[in-house]
Amino acid sequence: MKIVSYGDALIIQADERLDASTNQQMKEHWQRAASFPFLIVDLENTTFIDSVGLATLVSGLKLARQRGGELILVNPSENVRIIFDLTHMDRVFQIAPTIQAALALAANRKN
Amino acid sequence: MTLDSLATERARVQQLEAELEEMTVMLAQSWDQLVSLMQDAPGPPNSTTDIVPFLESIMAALDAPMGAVYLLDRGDQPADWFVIPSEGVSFTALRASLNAALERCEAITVVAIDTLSGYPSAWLLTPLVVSGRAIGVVGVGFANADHEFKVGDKALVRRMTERVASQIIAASLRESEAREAKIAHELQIAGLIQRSTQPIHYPQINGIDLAVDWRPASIVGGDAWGWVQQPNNVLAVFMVDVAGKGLPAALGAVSLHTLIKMALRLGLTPVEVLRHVNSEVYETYTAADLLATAVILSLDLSSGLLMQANAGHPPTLIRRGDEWLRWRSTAPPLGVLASIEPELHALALDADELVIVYSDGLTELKTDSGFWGEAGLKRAAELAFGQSAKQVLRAILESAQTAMLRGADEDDQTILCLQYLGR
Repeated sequence: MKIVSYGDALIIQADERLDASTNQQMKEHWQRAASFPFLIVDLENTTFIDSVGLATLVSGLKLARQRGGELILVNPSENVRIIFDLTHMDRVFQIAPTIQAALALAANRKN
Repeated sequence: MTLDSLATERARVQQLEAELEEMTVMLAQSWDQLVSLMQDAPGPPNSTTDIVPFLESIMAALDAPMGAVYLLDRGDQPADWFVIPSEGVSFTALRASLNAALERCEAITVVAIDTLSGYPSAWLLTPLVVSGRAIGVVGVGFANADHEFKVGDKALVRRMTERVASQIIAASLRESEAREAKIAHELQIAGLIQRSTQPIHYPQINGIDLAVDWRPASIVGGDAWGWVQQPNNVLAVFMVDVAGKGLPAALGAVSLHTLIKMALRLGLTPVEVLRHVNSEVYETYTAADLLATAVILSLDLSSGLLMQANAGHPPTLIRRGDEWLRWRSTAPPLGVLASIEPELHALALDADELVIVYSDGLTELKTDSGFWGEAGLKRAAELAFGQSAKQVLRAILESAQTAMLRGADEDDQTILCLQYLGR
């Protein structure tokens, strides 16, 4: 899991699997980064997500909104898109094609 | 060899024999004192007072007038010390030397440590090593600062502290086994409670053929299903899948099961039930980082009208003619948004049409060519078309079992087959 910050956004590159094996690590990162209202999760490399992974993203979304920001997903793979579609979560998250687009969404939201 | 050197050698041998004799006596004395303690297996050291009997034995074996035990903090308990005699030994004066023994993880002798009376003393400090880690120090002291600790003294104290350490390891192991047994027992009870909430009998209603398989991945699971007979000849069935595994997911499933059943008993429609239950669980799920998928179907047995509301659950499959209809989720899972507004699916079933509701544990089964998926489930169901719901269910479960990769992790699995037999 790679993490960088840009302005008031924390950018997390998610692992191949987003499930019980990675959820704690991801949560710890954004809970510690209290000064970042915008969480950008790059899902380009994520090929598997289960309900625990979805719950982790929802937890990040709620946290970001509490901080006055948003959680934005970037470039989910086909497998992940199918899960978002089936669970109706594609209507819950903002999804951007690139990190730059996600940062632009965050900037718009801020303004 | 000269006579002088022979005499020197003889004197050395005599000295060694004397030391050996002394050591044997000391070991025997200390062993006698320890035996009674060994018979009552001590628990892990909750405080230094648990180790004091051993310290007293060591002091007696060496005839040492002073002793000390120091235990580092053990997570839930702070660092702790005990000195004998309490009015004669300054722990503050000893502390730096105790820490030095801990850091070096080996026995050290220290002289000129001030006692409370102001006189210097000599100490032998031996770390208490458990599983390769120094958890504390046992020390014995003499008021005479010139006291010399013999090789035998050091060996004796080392052996006795090793003995204490092995007792601690054994006691910790016993405690951890007892804790695991307690957890396993509690899990069994939780499993029984969860099982008791799952229907044992299917509704005895003319016009339907129902078969269900509910299979938690372990003793408890996050899946649940149920049915309620509503007024006006309506049968409602539901399925939930709480994210995660183990007790939190099982508790979530049991509470959700109860909430949905109560709401259905009040005669609410599938959409109303999901809306109300979501607002009921939203705050708790937010605090607990939980979410749950849920699907509720109601079937009017008089008209065959089937209605569904689905929050994040896998699509309901309806076999109509040669086609599969898919009723997908129209709302996110429960606990994601503060309020949800699922859309209602509805259609009038014809006689012998089959409805399949399942949890993702079944479609996410790993096979050697990827996930079993909805396609695998449909193929399996097609093998038993025209037969009873029970036979369709059996065909699905058998195919899943055959396709599943051996040794792959399994999730909770629930599948419900409902056949409408006609008006």
